[in-house]
Amino acid sequence: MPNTASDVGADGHLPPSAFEETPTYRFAFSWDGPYGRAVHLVEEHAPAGLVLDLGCGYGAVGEVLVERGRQYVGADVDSLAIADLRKRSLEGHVLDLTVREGLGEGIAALTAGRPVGAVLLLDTLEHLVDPLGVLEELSGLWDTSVASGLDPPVLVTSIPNVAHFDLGAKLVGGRWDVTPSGLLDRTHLQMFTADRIERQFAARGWHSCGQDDVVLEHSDQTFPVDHPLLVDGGTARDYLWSLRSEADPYGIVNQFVRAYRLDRGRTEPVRPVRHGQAESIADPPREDDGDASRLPAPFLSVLTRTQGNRPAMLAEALACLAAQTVDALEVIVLVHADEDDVVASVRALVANFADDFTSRVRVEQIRGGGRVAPLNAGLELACGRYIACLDDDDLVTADWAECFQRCVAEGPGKVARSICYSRTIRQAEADEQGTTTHRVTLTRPFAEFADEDAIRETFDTLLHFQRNTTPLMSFALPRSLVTELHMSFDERLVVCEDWDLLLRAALVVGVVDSGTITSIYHRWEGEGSTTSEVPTQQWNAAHQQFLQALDAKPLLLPSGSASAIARLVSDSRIEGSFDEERRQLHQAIEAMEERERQLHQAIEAMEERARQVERDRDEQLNIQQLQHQHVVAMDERVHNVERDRDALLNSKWWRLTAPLRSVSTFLKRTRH
Amino acid sequence: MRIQTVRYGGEDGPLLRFVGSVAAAVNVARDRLGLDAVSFALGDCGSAEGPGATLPADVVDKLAQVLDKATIGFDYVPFGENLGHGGGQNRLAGVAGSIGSDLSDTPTSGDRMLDSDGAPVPTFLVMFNPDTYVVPDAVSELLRSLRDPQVGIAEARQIPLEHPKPFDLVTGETPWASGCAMALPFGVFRSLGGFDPAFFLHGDDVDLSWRVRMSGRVIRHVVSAAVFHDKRPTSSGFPEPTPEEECQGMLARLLLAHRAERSEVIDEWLTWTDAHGSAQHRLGATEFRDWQEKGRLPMPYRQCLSVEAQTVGAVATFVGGEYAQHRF
Repeated sequence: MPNTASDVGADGHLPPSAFEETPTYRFAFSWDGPYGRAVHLVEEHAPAGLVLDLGCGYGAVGEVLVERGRQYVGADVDSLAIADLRKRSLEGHVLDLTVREGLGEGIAALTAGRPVGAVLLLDTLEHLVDPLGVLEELSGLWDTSVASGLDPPVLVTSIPNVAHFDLGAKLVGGRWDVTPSGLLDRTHLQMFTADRIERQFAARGWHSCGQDDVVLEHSDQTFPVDHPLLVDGGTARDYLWSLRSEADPYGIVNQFVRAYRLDRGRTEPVRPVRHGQAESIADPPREDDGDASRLPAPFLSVLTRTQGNRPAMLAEALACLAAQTVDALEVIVLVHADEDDVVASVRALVANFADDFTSRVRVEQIRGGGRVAPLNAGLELACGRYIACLDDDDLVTADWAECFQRCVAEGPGKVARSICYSRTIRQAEADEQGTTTHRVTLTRPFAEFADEDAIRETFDTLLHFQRNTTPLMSFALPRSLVTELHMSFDERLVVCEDWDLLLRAALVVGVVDSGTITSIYHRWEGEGSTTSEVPTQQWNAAHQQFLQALDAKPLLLPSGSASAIARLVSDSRIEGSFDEERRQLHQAIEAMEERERQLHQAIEAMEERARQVERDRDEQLNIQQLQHQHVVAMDERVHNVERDRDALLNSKWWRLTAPLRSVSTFLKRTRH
Repeated sequence: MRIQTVRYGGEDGPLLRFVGSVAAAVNVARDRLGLDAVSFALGDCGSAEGPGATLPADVVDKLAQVLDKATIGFDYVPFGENLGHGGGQNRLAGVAGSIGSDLSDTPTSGDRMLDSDGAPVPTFLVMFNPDTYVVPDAVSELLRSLRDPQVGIAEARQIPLEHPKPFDLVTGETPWASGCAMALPFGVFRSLGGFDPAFFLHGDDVDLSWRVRMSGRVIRHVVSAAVFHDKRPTSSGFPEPTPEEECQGMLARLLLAHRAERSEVIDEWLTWTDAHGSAQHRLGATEFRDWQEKGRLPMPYRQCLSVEAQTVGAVATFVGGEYAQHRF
């Protein structure tokens, strides 16, 4: 059978110039290529017994296996290749895998009753019209040995990956280059992706037990040189790669080299494939979809986080969901608690609702992890076409889901968005009505998430790089972002995880707005929410963290962004010129403030001086007053003395003694 | 317990969900409070297409099935006319809607009464709007509140748009109860003559609440009894009134002011309506003036309830266009 370019050894970067009329594949063995990896898997996983190489071509692994003690049996439809095998002393048989009838007996005949350790299907299945029939035949051959407790052989395959990045990128550019060999070998009748292989093999009882895939960043399809979508470091290539790498980890796997064990009884934890409710959006059935797996999917899966510690609020949030005008929704209550009794109490709370609602509600316990863990668990559990979130302390109007549905009708596959209002609440206190499990509403709903008091009715991508006007409960994501691109909430973010996911989703699929207010975000006053518990610094750090993650890859912006960016740049330049004027004004203001400060100082000094003068004046006045008082006192004393004198002079005694004083005066004069 | 609702148009889906929620809430109340017989009455005023546009038979059957499963008796009553909210509730409760019934001898919530045929009448009357969804705890919480004989009406808390009127955070006491979701002792309702049919669509609940308060009982806002009411906010944060609500709201405001003998309030609103009111406001004012001219206005509270002016003044308050100072 032909092989892929990984074993060609030719210049895979150049397009093959011509196809051979009858392809003959004779590839060399290398330990790094799929053959060597297949041999390793045989050694690692296969029990003793012969190695049956179906579609062996020239049996590149034959000698290697024999050298390593294995009995080798090759089988191929190409008789020349078989003759070559035999010439090399290897056992070979002609076998046509494309003829289903008698195939099982034919394979059994090859073994001739010998125990089989491994069956190889190396670069073979993609060349068959009915590869799954071959798998079925192999399962049928060894079912009995499994039932008897015997070791069935290990199945080792090598299959080219049609979902290699190079193929997808070129297909975007309109190219599908079939080549003589390689990923798009012209004789390939089947194309396989990792998902198809896993599903098809598991459906026939073959479950992976080992893998050693061949990884090639540049496959044989990396041509033409300088293809704009394949340029390393090119913006378009990097953007496409950012999408491809989110879808699955096999973007640069060239060849799936894997080992499988047969276990028919094992059921894979594969979720039933659900399809949209309306016929018009139902996916076509895939080859492995049974009727039973085609369950009707609700339009919306609602993820409701709770820690089970505010049952009254949870009941109210659930009542909002029960009252939705759209019935096609499921509710997944994610109880983030380790304690089983908490989960039991939430189940009991849900059971109190009407049957038509409880039948659409699932309660799931989420143990461990941060506050984002329940949301990511919910993304995995959701079955709806779209997914929305409503935490246990927030409320929505009855047309919440209906508005999302309207958006989806307008833009299927896009993010659906409505307007969220905010209001402030606080936890009820113990002595207040309803106890502490209730809230007290402090404000009416207001347009907190609006721009300059106007309702921001449409999603502004550029604005959302800077701030979020779309809280968690105001948007619904298409589940396809989860199933196809494996988008999820970033658990490394302490906060802003909803903002981050919304932005990433919007950058991929765009947003449709309903323009209707349908949800009320509760901003807690005091403790009780992330907004009150997480410091601003942490918010800013989380914002920077997810911006850096976005910086790591190219961005795809919606139509109209070019003009918006030009306006932003222009505004920022105007802002820049304003900045200079603002700086000069600031300097002038500072100078004036300095002058004012100096004036204040001078005034203060003058005031101090004035106060000193006043103090001196007061002191002088005090002195004067004291002096005045002294004069008055002296005057008083003089007055008193004069009064006493006058009284004496006018007294009777003075008059009666006048003669005596005359005699006395006379005597004094005469003595001298 | 008797649960009543009055329908006027609306889609079948929300009605079915509402009745399912009532059945679930009754189940919870039975478990918690051990209720006796419960009946549910749905009065049908028809729709905008006419009073004959009643519920289709298959919807009535579905409602009956839901209620039967919850062992709740069901009375579906097509009125054949649009009685309005209060008139419909009165009809369902077997109350004539007479104004100014005697306030004395009002039975307490524990009393058993017999109707004119000697059959027991319900102890409690619970009224919901059909555009609601009853949170499972709500009925039991409302009834629990009515255990206090001082409580004349227990009112549920509306979500997602909470009514802004005030209530005492500790006692729950509130100036009036919204007719959207309330419970009261049946005897209280009957003794007061039920709703005053003068209020067709709006204000009947304020009027009933005031009469309950003037009779000495209190109105209690029960925070733990939540009822989802399908109201959609506009940019103001409140729902936009319909044209009919705008007209009836103005009429109700004037009627309430008339009953409270607040002529200055009447003058103020009539003046405002003439100068700034919408066509619907003017329609309401015109109807009031028409009733005034024809002497059809209801009796003032003082007259019909034999209460003092001071009592009326303390209860019947007018703050702007509202009946209390709103919290927000």
